[in-house]
Amino acid sequence: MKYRVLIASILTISLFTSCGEEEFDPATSDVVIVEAYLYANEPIGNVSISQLIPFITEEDETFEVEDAQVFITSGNESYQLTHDEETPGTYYYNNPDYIVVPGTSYDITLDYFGKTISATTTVPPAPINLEVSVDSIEVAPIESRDDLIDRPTLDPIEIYWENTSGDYYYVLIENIENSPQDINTLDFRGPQRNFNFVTQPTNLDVHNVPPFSLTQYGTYQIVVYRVGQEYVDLYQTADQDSRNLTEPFSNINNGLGIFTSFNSDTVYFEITRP
Amino acid sequence: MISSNDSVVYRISPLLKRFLIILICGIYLTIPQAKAQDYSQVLINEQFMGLTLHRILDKIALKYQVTFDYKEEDLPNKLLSGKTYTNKPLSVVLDQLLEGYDVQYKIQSTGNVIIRSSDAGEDIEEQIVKEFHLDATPTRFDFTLKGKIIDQASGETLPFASVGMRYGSSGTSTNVDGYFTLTDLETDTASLAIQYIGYQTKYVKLYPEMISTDFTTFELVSNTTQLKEVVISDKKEHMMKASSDISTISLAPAQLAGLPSLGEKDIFRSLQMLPGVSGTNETSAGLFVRGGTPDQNLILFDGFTVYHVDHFYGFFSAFNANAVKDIQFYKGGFEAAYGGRLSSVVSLTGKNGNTNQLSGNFGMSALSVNGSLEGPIAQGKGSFFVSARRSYTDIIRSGLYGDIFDLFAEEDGGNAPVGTGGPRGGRFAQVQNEPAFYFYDLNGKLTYRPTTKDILSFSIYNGEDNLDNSSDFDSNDLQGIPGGGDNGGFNNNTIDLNDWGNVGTSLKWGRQWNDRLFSNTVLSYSNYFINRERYSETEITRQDSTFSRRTGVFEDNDVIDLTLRSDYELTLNQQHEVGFGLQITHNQVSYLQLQNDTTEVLNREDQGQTYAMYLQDTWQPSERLVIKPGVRLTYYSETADTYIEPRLSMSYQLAPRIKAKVAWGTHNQYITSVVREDISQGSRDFWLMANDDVNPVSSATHYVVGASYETDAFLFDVEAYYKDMSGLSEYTLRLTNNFNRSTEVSELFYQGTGYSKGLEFLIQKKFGSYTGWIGYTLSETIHEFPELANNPYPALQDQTHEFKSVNSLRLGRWTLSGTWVYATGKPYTSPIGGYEVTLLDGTENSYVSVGEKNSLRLAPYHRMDVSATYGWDWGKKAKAELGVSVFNFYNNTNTWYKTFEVIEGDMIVTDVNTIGFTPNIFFNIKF
Repeated sequence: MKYRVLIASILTISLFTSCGEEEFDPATSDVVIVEAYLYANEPIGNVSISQLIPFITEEDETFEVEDAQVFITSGNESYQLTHDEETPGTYYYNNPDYIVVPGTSYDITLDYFGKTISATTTVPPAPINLEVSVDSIEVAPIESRDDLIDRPTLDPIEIYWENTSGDYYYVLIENIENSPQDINTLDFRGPQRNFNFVTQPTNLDVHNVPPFSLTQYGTYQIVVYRVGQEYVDLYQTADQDSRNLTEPFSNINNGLGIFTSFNSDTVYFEITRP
Repeated sequence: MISSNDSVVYRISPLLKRFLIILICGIYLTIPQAKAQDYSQVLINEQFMGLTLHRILDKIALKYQVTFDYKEEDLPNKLLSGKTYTNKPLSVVLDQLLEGYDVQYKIQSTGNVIIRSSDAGEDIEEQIVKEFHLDATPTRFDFTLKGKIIDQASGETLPFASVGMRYGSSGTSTNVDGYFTLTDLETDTASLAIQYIGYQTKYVKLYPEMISTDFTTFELVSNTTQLKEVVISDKKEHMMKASSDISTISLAPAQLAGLPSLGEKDIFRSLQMLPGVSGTNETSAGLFVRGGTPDQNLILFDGFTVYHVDHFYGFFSAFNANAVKDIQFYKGGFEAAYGGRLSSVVSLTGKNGNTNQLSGNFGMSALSVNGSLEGPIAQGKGSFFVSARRSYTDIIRSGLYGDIFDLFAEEDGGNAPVGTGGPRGGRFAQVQNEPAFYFYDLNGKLTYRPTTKDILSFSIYNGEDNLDNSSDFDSNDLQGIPGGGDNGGFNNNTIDLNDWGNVGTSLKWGRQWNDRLFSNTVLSYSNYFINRERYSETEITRQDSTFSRRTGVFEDNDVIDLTLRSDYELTLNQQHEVGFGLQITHNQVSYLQLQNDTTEVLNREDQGQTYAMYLQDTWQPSERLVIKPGVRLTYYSETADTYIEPRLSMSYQLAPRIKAKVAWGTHNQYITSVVREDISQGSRDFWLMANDDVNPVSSATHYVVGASYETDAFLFDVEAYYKDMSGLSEYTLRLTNNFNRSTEVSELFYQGTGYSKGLEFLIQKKFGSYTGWIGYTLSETIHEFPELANNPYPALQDQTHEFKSVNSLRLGRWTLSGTWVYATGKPYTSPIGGYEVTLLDGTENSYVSVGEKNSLRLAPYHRMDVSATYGWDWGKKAKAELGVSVFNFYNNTNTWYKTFEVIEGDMIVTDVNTIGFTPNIFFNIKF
């Protein structure tokens, strides 16, 4: 008699614990990742195709997709991209004379894992009325600690443009000298790369640069890019964690990643010695 | 020596007995069971060294489950020489202990030992007859007794105390004002038993002269008064009582101090130690009851609804336990008097205040100080009570504060570098600002009895949390990096303010219209608010002008509840106690989320009314059977629909110690909130009114069946429940990240259904020096949202197994406590893989692609908390206690959530853990 109760209890408990969970294979995946950026007035490049990195990976396992047939389509014209053998998983259009046209919609298409992966982007117009507040500023070199301490206060360098519609932009600041000279020579660090900085997307109409944050003499190129909505959405996707995990933003059909386009305008300014 | 045994040993069915044996699983086999016995022959094995007589009697009482009834003047408390007893009957031990005292005693069959002076010249039998009016001649037959139950020391009325015939099952309970009506008493010399959680049970032999034409007052003695070496006159209910009605639990706030805590005696943390309530939510004081979420609980404080119960990110609840005198907790199947929520009801009654004298309390812990003051007004016709509690975390930062704050500061981005504002921060100079955080709560209550039939009370509560994590700096200080990320600029302030809290007030009028009709009318106002501002302010000075821009998030949620309710209790006869009432509630809910000062992500302004009426009966067709049918009708203006909610519960006394219970009922909810644990993107816990459109009226049907077996010392309780839920809403996070465009409300919610089922087991040791309980819950909560997942999936709060053990051991002036929780890990959505995207600033951002919803589990959660409290008399009138408690005693690493990252082709999973070993010290004085 007492075993009946025990068995009944076990059966009852098993009712709760026998909930089936569909297992997935943590070592495989069949999801294609697209990372493709089109720049207005430039040839088509920067198209990366890979596959999702599974939860468990083998050592030295690679996930670049090198054998896809990738097409960029605009209207009735279709351009097949070529795989760049030097950079596995990267594709480009091998006609450098073809440039991306502002205001035009482009589709990307490829077939992989038995699926057709596709996405669309429309190239935005260039930023309007881009200006920089100064053409040139003088900054004294820092050759001693006294120079560092006694640095005079300088006004910020303002980069501004028209943005009445609240669109998003990002700003690239880059020193374009062949051999840029450091302003601060106190701590000699050997030959440096050209100064280069990119901001996050912003929907303001201004970006301020503290002069002392620029570390090299010479001419700077300031490129302001107007970015597509899909890029902002991906950028702003919050950190994902287990409490409420959801799929990150993606504009790729049957895949993940991003296909977007940018348009830009450029201004210059210079930092010189007094 | 008179010794007899009038207890009866009842036979229970062998099947049930075996079932119960399986339930206890041998855990309590080592604990001595109470059983009927001749108490004079109870064998004492003790060694008493350096103790006073009262302490020795106290020790015997606690260990051997007898009680002593004596007057201190008859038994001066002398220090006795060392005594050793080995297998000595109680009568022999008492003979020796009381030698030299001019007293005589009688051991009653109930285990009560009455000790009285021999001076009167009467023998003990005569004294007992006279004192307890055993020879009283009845003058009234089949009469109605009206009475009230109060605390002996403070005069505070005691709500929901049970009053019944000592020998029989008929009885009633006091209403919220402590009054009761007991009908059809056979005579005015009957014996009553009066019980209240946290108080000594009192047996009263009525006699004609004691019965007032108005209300007869009965006084109970609180267990907390026994810090002093005093008379133990009878058995005591300790901190929790779970046996009365199905899924109903009473807690004694005063007794909760004995439980380990995170520094504050905490009502909701204690409720989380009950079976059926999740005990693993360190970051929420809200209750997850039987698969429900915190917003599905109706929280009432002195009649007003409280919409948010968290202090300090949920580590503490918003109520000062010192201001609360009674807690009634209905886990499900609750009666028709309550409505508007799917899951449970927590009804808190605030203290009225001491009607006898001015008294107070002061306490402090590593986080906060609190104090209260109470006393009589209007020549004893009324009383006042005020209390205040405030953290001093903005002044002194203890280790405990640091542990908790760091957990959230890390989560929140903490002192994130100014100008980054996003997940890719950390490349700039770290700005070291000092966050200022504090919380406070205030309670006040005025009670006044203009006539013997009327009682008026005004209660007010205000509690608030405030966090200022703002920083301010001049970006000229930055070296090496141009600009300030997306915010740009020089003079850049990061404003990070969180402010949330409740204001609630109620005006209550209770009236005893006649012997049988009592009413309670409450006008209440409640406001819950939460404001969050997290933005960067950029001020740019150009040659001819200055302008500023803000980027960030502003959120404001405001809930107003204005309610008028009137409840009536009509005692028709011993068989029928009818309850009926009306409730009108006006809700006004606003939610505003702005992005960058201008873009409205979401802007809702809702208001609606519910008009509800209910009728219920407590019908006792026989001594063993109680049936409570009821119905609640609600008209909800937003949907223009009337909702009918039938309710039914029954209990049947199978044997004097065995009760079978069932309950069924439907419940609807008209205002819901979205609960999110994390605050990394700003608090998104917000309330919205239900409507026909995107957020439907949710409903649940409860089915509960259970049984309890109760002895003097133990309670074994088992309940099975099934809860069918529909109209559930789930909030989606991803879409709301698209701050740049206004979001339609319909994008935020998906609709679904669900169910929750479970078995709850409770074994409670109620009396003695060792008390506590073991609770085990086996449960499953499944949600089905077709648009979110192809298959039904475990809800976030689903935990298959949860085991809890609550233990309290009293050793003289010491109280040692320990709690342990073990639970299956909570579900989370499985990541099936990850990928990286190179952003234009050159960073590799990693993302996780998700698999089946909530198909994986975090590691099991377990934690032990311990505490030791020492109590002593502070002067003649005050009592003090000093204690130390340790949270997560063995420093177990419990995972709160996981983060996922892809680094160079590998998925890196990081566990974010809750707080570890955390000691705390506290001090309280009551005068």
